[in-house]
Amino acid sequence: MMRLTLCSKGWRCAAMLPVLLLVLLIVSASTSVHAQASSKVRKPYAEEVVVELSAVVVALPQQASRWWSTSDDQPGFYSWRIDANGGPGLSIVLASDSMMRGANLSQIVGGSSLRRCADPHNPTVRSCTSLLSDSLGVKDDFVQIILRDSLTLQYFREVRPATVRVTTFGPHGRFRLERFRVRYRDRVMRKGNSIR
Amino acid sequence: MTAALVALVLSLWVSALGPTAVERPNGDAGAGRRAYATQRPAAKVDSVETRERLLVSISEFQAGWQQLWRDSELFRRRTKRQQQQLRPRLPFLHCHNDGRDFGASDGRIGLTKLQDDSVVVHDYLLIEMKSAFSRYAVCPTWIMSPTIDQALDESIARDGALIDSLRAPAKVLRAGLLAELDRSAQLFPTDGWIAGQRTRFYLDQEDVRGALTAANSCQGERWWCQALLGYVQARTTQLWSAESLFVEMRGVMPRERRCAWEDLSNLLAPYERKTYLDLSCDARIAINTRLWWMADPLLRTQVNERFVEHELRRVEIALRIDNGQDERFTWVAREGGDVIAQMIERYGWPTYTAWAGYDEDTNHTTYLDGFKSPPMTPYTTFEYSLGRVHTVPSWSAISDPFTVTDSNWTLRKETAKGEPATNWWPIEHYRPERPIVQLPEGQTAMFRRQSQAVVAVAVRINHPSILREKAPGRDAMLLTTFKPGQVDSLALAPVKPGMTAALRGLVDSKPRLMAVESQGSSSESSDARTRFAVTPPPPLDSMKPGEIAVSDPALLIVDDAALPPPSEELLDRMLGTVHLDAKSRRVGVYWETYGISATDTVTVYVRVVADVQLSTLRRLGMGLNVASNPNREIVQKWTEPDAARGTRTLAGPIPVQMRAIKLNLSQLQPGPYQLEVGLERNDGATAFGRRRIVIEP
Repeated sequence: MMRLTLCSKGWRCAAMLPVLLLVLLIVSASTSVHAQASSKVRKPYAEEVVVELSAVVVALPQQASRWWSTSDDQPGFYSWRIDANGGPGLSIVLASDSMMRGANLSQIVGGSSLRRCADPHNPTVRSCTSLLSDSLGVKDDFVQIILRDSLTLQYFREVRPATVRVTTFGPHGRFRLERFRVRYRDRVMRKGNSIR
Repeated sequence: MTAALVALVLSLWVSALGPTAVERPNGDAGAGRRAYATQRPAAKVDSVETRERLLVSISEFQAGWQQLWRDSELFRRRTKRQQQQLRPRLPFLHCHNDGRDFGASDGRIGLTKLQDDSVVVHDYLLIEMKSAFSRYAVCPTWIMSPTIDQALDESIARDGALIDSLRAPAKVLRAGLLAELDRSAQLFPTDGWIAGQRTRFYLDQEDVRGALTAANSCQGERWWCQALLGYVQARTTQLWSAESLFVEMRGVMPRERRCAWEDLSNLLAPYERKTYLDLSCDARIAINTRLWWMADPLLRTQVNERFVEHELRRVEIALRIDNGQDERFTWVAREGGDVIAQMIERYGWPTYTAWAGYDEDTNHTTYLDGFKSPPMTPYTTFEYSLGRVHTVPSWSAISDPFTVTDSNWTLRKETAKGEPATNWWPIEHYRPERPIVQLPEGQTAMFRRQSQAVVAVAVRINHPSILREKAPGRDAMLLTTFKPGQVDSLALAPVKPGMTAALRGLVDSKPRLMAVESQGSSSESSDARTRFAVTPPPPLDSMKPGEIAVSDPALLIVDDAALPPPSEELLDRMLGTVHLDAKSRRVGVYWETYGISATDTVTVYVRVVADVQLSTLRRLGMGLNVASNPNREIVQKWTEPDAARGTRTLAGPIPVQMRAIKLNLSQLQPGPYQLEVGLERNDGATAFGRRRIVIEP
């Protein structure tokens, strides 16, 4: 049976030291990169809207569609609409133009785009055409939207709605209407001053 | 060297690892998704995609409407007092009993009497209808507030659920949807689903012309197009037209669909359903004809309103089940929508649905989730206007229609003032075009004639709601039917509220249903009815020589004057009840004998004997002479021929004798009695007729 012996004598062990150091360095570097990356990853907020200093984070639930019959070969449209009523109003949709085959959330999100609605008081998915260049993705059972556009941020900062309505649309005429709480985390204390 | 190596390895490692680690958690699909989103495919018009796109538009409208409705309900709870009105509604809204078994076979779970200081009246039955697939249940009930702030009966106008100021926005939303449905209907004229949705939404928009156009332009399956036309006519109360369209619809319906469509098991009590469901499709269709015949609210009208209402409900359900959801409710069976469909089939569209807000929704969804049941938001009550009537008879009555009594036909439970009671809940009910009230049990007597029989019926037209009517004009009609599709009107007479309608007519001697139906001349008057089965006696033609028989004794209203000579006309004085109150202790009795000639010697008797079973103890006491016999009886006996008796004889192959006497029952204790009239011929042949009467205190 082969025995694994890295260093059995003192000088050989001393010669191995730089190699061990290199390994240690690589490990520590990779850990710090992971840490760096983790610091950039947002935790999804469950079914709520969080207004941060430079972004509005929305976590849309998959839950409603969990019960909707969506076998893989059943085509249909999926979309979400976020409506805020106060002030001038704000309506944003996450929707696809074409039918989706199956209910895989990543595929749905992958095939969808975020758009602003021209008339927030009477929106239909098709009338919402202004594309928003913001990030979205899937985390656990949530669709996470990070809105950074200035109009959206300005709306939430100025109107400060306490709730928004979220309508989840699924295939075959399914929809679910919910009210999401809005949390504001855009007040940062700096040297005793509060800024928005 | 080492540092350079470390740096190199690190840079390579980070560059390989970095983007994935940063982007993956956010799931940002990057440029690929954006490119996909901006490269919109050309609209591909095929029916599946068109339908899905239309479903998105319908969903958007429905979500918009639901939001308006939620806002309306929140508006209706804006004050503390209004919020109080919600409290007694919560058991009906949550409607789950945590596994408690209430046991009753017909789903009744006992009286829930709630105490509250709000204006809501509390005396309702909590009836739970459970989904077969989910923990979700509904508890339909009567409307729980005398008025609902800014609400109209939504079974008549769907937007009535919204407050005044939100009805116009709802119409704007729906108009947008209708424009899209119109365009799609032009592209796909043979798509029955599009035709159905157009028809439904035009009706909800209260645009009857649009709905008719939509239904008329339907080029889908013929039965479905007929169903849509019938649906429009029924919702616009063109009942006669609706009925013929629905009948035609059934005629052209494919057999398999018709078998499912004609499953009426939901209209029967749970313990009766198995027997019904065990029938073959053909047997079920045959018995359904009988069910609708018996469920017809008024025989005198040409239309069977209840049948039309049922078909309307079936089309209503079909229009919604196809879409999975409507403005508020989920119709998918496995999610709990089966119970919504069942409720609509049994009770129709509710008058009002109360919603308790987002928090109650969350609570209820959490409860359902605990049982792995899907959410069914928004959770509401299902409240129905009072004055609805239950006309579908029980299975036993349907199986054997000629043994039913008027108690089988009780339309509704009422308070002492004749108002609809809230502490009952039938298997099914419907809202008639005009209110229908139950007439009390009257008096029926039958007499033999040459080839037929006379059926004489007297009923008091004294329902409290009729007595309250301002318009005095009213009639009463005697009708008979012995098979579906055949109704004879036997007599019609004007009556005044509070008076007795005494009607009679000739019928063939076969079992049949009889009905007295009364209608007022004013459009605000109530209709009234009573219905029961009779088996008329055989006619004189069928009697053998020497055979004798006696008719039913008929109680007559009498005054101090002497009774006129006995004749059939005396039946115009028939008492409208067999329950004799303190003012009715003196009555007349009219009866006929058959087969006795004027020269035959007979002993005639009239006997009134208590109709109670004596206990063994009582009999023992009577034997020991320490207890009295409560069966006190009155007996009058005499021998004829006796010129002083005034018996009238009609000669013929089978002679008919008519007799009438006055009877004083004031010495009898209150209770049930048998009134028996009989005779014994000198050759020993006997015959008698009998009637149960009740001496009221």
